[in-house]
Amino acid sequence: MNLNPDIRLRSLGRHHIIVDASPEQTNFTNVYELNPTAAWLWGVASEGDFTAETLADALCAEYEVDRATALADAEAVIEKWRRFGFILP
Amino acid sequence: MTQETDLLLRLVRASLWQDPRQLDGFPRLSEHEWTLVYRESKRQTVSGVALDGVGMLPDPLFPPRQLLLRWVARGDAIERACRRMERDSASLLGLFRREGLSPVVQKGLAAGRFYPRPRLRVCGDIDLCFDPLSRRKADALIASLGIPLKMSADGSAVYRWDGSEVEHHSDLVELQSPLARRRMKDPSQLPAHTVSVASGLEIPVPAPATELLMIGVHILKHCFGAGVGLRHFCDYAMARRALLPLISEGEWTETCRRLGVARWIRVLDTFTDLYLSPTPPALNPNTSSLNLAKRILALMEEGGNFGLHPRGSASRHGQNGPRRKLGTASSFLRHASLSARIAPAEALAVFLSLVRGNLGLRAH
Repeated sequence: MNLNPDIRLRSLGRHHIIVDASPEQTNFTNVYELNPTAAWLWGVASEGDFTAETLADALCAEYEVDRATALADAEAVIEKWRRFGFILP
Repeated sequence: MTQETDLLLRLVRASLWQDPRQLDGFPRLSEHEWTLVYRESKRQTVSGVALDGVGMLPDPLFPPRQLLLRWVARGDAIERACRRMERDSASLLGLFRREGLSPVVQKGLAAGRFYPRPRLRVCGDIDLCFDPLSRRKADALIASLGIPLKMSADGSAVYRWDGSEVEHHSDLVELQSPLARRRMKDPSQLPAHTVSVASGLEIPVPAPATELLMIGVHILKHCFGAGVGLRHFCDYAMARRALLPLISEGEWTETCRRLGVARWIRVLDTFTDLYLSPTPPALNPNTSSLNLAKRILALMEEGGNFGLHPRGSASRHGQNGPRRKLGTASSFLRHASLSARIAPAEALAVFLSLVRGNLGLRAH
């Protein structure tokens, strides 16, 4: 799967912000703030095609976390991103 | 200078020069104070550039979260608008190229290339300049596509191309004094060259001296009537840094003198040195340029970009033609003494043109 290329993460200081300006409703904009781990995962996911497994591998390599927890976290994040439309259908 | 202008200038300088040291000693602001800075950044059309400066602040000095999110959303919208303008410019320039027409891109898209982060500069219209014959062909081409063109008071043709507003002009440098117009070269004779902008799009722009003069004189026009904003001065400061080394000093001085704008350019240089330079040079406090630069700052604080949000009065945005004309004329008269000091010949020519326009003596 791939991230929606129209949606970009913007980092200012410790803030990691995603702006989703719906083209259908030009006056309606959703703004989301990611925590540092989610923002780091976004960076990994934006490098190209990804799956819950590849994100879990990246989490295990970067953080001290067991594989099962990393996979569960990656699946949860992907589910959220999918719900918000951050992932291409 | 108000506190919000002072703080805004610091944020803008930090972005323009990519220099966080401009923010040394930046105070911790209340929510209200941050709101004032944010509003001023919108009034002066530099909210994207200022946001870049905000990102260089230490975390404890950041704006409140809700305001920050709103500001980031605005920055995102500015960037999207720039991308759309780049796409629309590419398709429109492609159309003209296929028809054998070679307009020169003025201001907006071209000015963005001087910024360290071009897409954070609020983009306006797509401004294209043609020689007279090509201009007629270009207007006819657009009309033949069923796109309605409106003729504006200054003789330019205005229309929408996809999501962008486009203006066709016949003058590269908007000088009205008859002597300056006689001394200016026909736009078709001016050497133009091609430069690459943010998206990799290649656009034709005027030669360096003409381009810098065009940006400087455009600001003069806004000072005279329509309202001037910080973005105008940022354009000049960035263009001056990039273009002046490409122009011989003698050529630049002589061009400004011949066209009657030497004093204005001195004031403009003083303004940018004083308020936008990363390291303000030592300036003689008694020079007339310095005093005039301070009056220009007051004008900028009063009007904002295009005079859309003058403090303490109704916006000129949305006014109909005659009311807007009268608004421009009254704005010109209010600042007539300043205009006469910064560019006397041009001020007189603009005044006469406004009189003719308001009396309906000019056919458009």
